[in-house]
Amino acid sequence: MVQYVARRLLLAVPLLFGLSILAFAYVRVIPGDPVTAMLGVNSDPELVARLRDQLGLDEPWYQQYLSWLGNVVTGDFGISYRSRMPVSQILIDRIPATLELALGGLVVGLLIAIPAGLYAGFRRGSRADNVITGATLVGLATPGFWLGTLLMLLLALQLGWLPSQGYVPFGVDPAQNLRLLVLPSLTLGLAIAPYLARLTRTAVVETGGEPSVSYARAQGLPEGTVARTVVLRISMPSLIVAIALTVGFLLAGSIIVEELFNWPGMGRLVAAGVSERDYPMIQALMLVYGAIFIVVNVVAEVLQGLLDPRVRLT
Amino acid sequence: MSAVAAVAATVDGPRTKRRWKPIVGGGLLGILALFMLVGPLISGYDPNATDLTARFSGPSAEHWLGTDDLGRDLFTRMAVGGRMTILIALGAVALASAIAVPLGLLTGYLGGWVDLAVMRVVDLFFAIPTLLVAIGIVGIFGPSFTTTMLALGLAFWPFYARLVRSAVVGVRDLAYTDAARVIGAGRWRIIRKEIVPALLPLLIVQTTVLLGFAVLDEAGLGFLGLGVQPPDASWGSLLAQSRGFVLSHPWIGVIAGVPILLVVLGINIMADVLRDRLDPQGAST
Repeated sequence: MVQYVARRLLLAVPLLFGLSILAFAYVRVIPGDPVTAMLGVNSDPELVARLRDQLGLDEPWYQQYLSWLGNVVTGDFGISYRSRMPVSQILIDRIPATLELALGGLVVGLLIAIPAGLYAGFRRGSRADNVITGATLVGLATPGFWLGTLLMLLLALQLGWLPSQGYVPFGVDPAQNLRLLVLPSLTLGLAIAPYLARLTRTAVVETGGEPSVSYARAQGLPEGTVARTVVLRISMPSLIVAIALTVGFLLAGSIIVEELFNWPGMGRLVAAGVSERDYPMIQALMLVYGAIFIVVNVVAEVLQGLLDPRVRLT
Repeated sequence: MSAVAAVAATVDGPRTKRRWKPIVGGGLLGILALFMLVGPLISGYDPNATDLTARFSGPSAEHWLGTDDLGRDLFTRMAVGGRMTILIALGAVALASAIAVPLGLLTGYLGGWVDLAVMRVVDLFFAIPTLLVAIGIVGIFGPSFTTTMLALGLAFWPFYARLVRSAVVGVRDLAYTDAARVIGAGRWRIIRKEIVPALLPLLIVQTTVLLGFAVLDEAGLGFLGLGVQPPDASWGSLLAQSRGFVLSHPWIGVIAGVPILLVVLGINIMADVLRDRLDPQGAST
């Protein structure tokens, strides 16, 4: 087991390393000079030269990469060209909001998708399965932000049950924070639920043919018991890994949902960073989003190994 | 395996029960294609012609779906915008396939260090959300019609390449490819004559699925203001535009999403149909 965990962790290292090279190289291929982006086109040449020197832009690329990587590892992502504040500071301010939203969305998504997927999988071919599979098909075709707009119009403006948009830190006003969280996380949850439901159904259908399931049935156990004690238990490990893979959808969805509901998370920095050529910010965002995905997936694989001893051998 | 498939077939009932699928899927796509191709002709409006006396008019006899903030006819703009979105999606999928299929074939068939190297790059792309990759590419070239196509194509290829690769690995060592090898067929001949035909169903289904994703992601980029730029219309840019007055004039935001939903639904249903028809093994789940 220790060996398995160590191997999973080691596999993540080259991935993180590659991610850092990608993030660094990305900024090199963007046309346009960062100093010009910071100071404007008609700036004093002397000032430009001094800033270039200060930012280390005249050094060879590998030196720039190494010093940049050294800084990143110690948590220094440089200064945002746009706001002139340390990127790490801005990110630390915004990560909690994004994580709160992602967690909210994941909870909503799982609450809808797991029961639906399980039920559809167990009762394959039934009317309920057809309804759930049909809803999944429609859900997969629905643009998330459009759904969010409809929810906002209906629940906030028409019925007035919820505030339409905004954010209050949990520490300041927990009740208001949660009220504001409902619409965005409902949107995000509904957006990822079809993926999760389909994965769950497939996992259940695949384990339905295992000998242990037939054996449990042959013993005369009621279907519900077979479902809970045998099928769910067998499909859980692969389900966890499948759910971890949808974290990519979750993060991409959060970028759009944050924009829609004025949710002050990292996602709002993405579009702004790209249009204003805020290189250090873009690099940091690529690294943080990528690292979240990699870490979640390593954790999921470790969990899978804990739950299913067979996995540890491969 | 075949026993399981047989059981699965009985559980799902006879294939005839799914006859509605091609009708619904094809019908949806047909109606929308008609709307996009003929719509602007029968409405008689220029999609970019403004009419400030008719701003935000609701649906009426003159403007079937109403007008936007500049008095432009929404029915026409949605039809013309649909053409743009579909063109972008087709281009993006073509680009993704042009990269992914050869790479998947090569890495899957050759294996070794080429496989290892390319798949590590693919892993890397998996770690970054597709939309973020696309946004990053928009950051390099600036938002436009061509960039959107390019960005989505470059964001999609890794998924596709991995899929093709694992499918190739699946057929590489089957008896009939071995047989071809035994009679002295070369690498390229085996790939062309044995492997590609075996993969064709998967390729067809997968390009269809990707097309749906491309339409959704075009809308996503457009929504963030990073897609097709005004005054040109695409479904994404219409949604982005509607954000500015979603509270005062919600109608535009509401109808702008409908064609996206219908097209992607039609595409996904057709993907299911193709999967059922072309790939009996995958059809059971």
